[in-house]
Amino acid sequence: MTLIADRPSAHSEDDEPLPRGLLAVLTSTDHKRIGVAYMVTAFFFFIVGGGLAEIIRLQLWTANSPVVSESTYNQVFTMHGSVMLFLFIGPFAFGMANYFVPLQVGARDMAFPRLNAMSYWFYLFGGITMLSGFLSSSGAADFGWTGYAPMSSISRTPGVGVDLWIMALVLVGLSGVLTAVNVLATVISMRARGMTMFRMPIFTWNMTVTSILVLISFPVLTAAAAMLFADRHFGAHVFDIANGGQPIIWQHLFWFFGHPEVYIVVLPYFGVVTEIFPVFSRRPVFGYGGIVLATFAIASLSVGVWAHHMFATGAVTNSYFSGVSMLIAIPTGVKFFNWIGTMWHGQITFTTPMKFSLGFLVTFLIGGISGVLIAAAPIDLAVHDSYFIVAHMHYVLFGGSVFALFAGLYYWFPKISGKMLDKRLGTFHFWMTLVGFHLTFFVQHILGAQGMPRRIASYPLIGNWQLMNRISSVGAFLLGASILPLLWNVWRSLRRGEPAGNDPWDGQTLEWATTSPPPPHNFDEPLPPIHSSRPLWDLKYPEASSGTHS
Amino acid sequence: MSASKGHHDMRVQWMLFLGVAVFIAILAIVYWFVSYEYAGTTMLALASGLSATFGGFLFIQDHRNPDSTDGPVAAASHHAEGEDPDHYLPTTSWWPLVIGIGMVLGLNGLILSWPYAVPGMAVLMFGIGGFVSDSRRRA
Amino acid sequence: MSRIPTRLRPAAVAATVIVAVGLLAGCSDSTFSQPDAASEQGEHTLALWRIFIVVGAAVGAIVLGLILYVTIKFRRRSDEIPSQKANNVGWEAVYTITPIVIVAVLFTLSVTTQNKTEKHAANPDLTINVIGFQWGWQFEYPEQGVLVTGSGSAGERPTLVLPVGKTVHLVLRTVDVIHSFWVPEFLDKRDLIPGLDNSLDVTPNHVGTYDGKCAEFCLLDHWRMTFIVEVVTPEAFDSELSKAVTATQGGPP
Repeated sequence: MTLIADRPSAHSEDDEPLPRGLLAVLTSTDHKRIGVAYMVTAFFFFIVGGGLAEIIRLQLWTANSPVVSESTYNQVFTMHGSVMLFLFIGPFAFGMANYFVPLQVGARDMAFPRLNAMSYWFYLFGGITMLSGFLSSSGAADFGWTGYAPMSSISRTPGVGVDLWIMALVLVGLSGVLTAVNVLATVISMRARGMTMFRMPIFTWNMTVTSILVLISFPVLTAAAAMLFADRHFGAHVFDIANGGQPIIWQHLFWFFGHPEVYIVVLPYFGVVTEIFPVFSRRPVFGYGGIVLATFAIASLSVGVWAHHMFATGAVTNSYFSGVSMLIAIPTGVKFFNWIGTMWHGQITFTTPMKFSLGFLVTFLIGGISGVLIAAAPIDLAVHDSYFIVAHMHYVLFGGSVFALFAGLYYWFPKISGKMLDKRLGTFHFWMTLVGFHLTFFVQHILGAQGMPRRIASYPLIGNWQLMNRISSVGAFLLGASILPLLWNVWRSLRRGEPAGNDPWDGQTLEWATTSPPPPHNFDEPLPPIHSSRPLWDLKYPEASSGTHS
Repeated sequence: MSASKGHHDMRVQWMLFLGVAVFIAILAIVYWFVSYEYAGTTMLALASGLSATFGGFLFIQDHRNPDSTDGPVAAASHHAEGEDPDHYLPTTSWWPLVIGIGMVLGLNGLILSWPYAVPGMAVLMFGIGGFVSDSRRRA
Repeated sequence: MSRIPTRLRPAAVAATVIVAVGLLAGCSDSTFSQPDAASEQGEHTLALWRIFIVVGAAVGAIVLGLILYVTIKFRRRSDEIPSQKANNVGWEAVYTITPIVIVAVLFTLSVTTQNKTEKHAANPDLTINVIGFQWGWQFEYPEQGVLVTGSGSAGERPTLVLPVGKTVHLVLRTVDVIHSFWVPEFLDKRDLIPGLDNSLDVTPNHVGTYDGKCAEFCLLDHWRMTFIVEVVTPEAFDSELSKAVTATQGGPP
């Protein structure tokens, strides 16, 4: 750390004075401010989506006695899925990318700062548009986050909430495409001297690949949304069987977006834990080249598996989709061994980010294995559209993405705020999340296998169903409450947290070579020389820098 | 860093994109012959084409005269030598917010009624105009 | 010998207990939570399910074991800088090839099973037209000239009567949105999609009464869109069918 602090300052920034307060929030194009805005907004939507989830679990507390009406329930689970997938997990990853990709490649900002600000506004306004459906007299969209045709036709769901949902998809989709362009341009043209492609940190690599996936898949969603809107309001018949349309086309279009989307919201978080395991094991990433290759393999394969969501339609070639889906298990398995190999022979410290990363590893493992199960078409036909699928996708998206998201939050919070988060509260948060999560979702595998369909507003009293649903609900309430120690921790740290210093974790990558928080143009000091993917480590431990790749 | 290393790095970039394009093209061909299904084959072919577009752009950059700095892609050809010090990085701008407001009013105007859409489109045009003239003045 | 830090122990124990209880609950029966199959096709799927669960649990246990081993064995004990070796071609080959082999085997098993469960009989013993509507079912027996209809919204659960040991060809159609025909004991389901004629062959092999349901969300009363499956002996088939007809009254709009 001192090695860097002692270096003479290269130049001082004495441009126009920076605006403060509300003005700064509204007009800033600094990638760090925009990144924080993304993360704070996404976290707000996470709390909204979590609140909706608690209503779902409250509804299913007792068999045969709904708490809210079916109509309200359908809106609640539709918006829970839509908010979590479109407004929370993906945008939070983009927030992290906004903040840390330029820092990790040693750039002053993103390649297109104003475009960056614009895509944030599209995202925020899109999110407000989607939620404003609840304020309309007919309520929010209520056809599930997948919006299957012909349920979404104007005659079946005439409410304005559906139109608001469609417009939100257009806005959020546009925002995603613009951010992806920005990340790619930053990675290709803004890297510091010496930062070759194969010296980029894995988080940056994964954001690069994620951005490619966004560019391939988001336009399909926007096109599908436009077609749906045209069907509803301009007399088109794309999905209208009575006039020569095909409802099944919606599923092809939606899942051609939807499956890459799953990797769009998972790959960034794979990147996050791949930053954390080396730092807290004091080792380099094991098999760097293999990890990059595996990421590309996952991304490329993910474009070709969309119809494994459609096995039950009887309209797709099940063995093809089954085979390609199972292939994805191979690069994902490789990543698991890379992570374990990174820790092997390491000096592991169990900080909060490391705890969450290990929680990610264990939980995502179960989600990955159940994924192989349902890649087999006959098994999927048995459990499709049941709570088994609900359990699987939450093990992947919460157990995978959100655990890693929390890991990233604890890891990078000191850099963003300059303050450390409390370790004891972090440990408390971790165990509450882990216990709450497994209580909520593990029994759902059993419920689904026993025949409980998803998206039902109530269920009959069969076997142990009520008991298992109550276990799930108790877990969900614990999981909901687990957000409190986190919020308290953040609040407390911002007010009177321990100062973090530049490099509190003994980091390896460039973001730890600058102050916390970084100055407006990121690096006041000259960058450390970049000869590997761990420039800061090489600077601190020159004697231990050998053995890494070029 | 040496020029040859930088060239190698450039090659990595277009090879990655073209690799993805070729892989998806193979998927498209295989998919067509196992399913004879139009929608998926079309989408796979387009996805491959999109990836090939990026790869092709970077390939052309790589094979262009490395000293050439004219044209809108100058920044890209400078990648390995570090960031272009003249690259315009504004710290503040109102225009993104104006465009965002115009966009959301315009789109929601399609649902609600045209009195929202028309001013929305006007604000959107005003915002885009401001954004562009800002770039021209400062770049 | 290294141990888990003292203050983490209660929470660690709690988490282990939850997962262990869950695993036991899920795996204590021989079908791993699936219902006992009531059709020949279902038997094949159940066999595949068992294999996948066992293989999945084994792989999971090995990886989990590795994770636990690493985190206990390589806890930080000194400030010494650990080995910085970041490649091991041998191990990388092993952990790439092993998943390939596992996946290849599982895929082969899956396709073999699929060919059995999705096979359509050349001459089914009985053909039934299943029509889904918001929110109920209609079962039409063209050979018997019988129509059974029930609307879940009206609190009715129509009965689908099937003869045991006979291969039944179900033709699946919808009059409005997408529905999905699901009988958990058959371990199979198929969507009813506007514009597509879907079908499903099922050979019930256990006499009994089972719950059927719509699996694909279809708006307001989706959860009420259920039906009853009666698998009866061929001798009792006609009398059961006539009972089913008089039981329910509703119909598609």
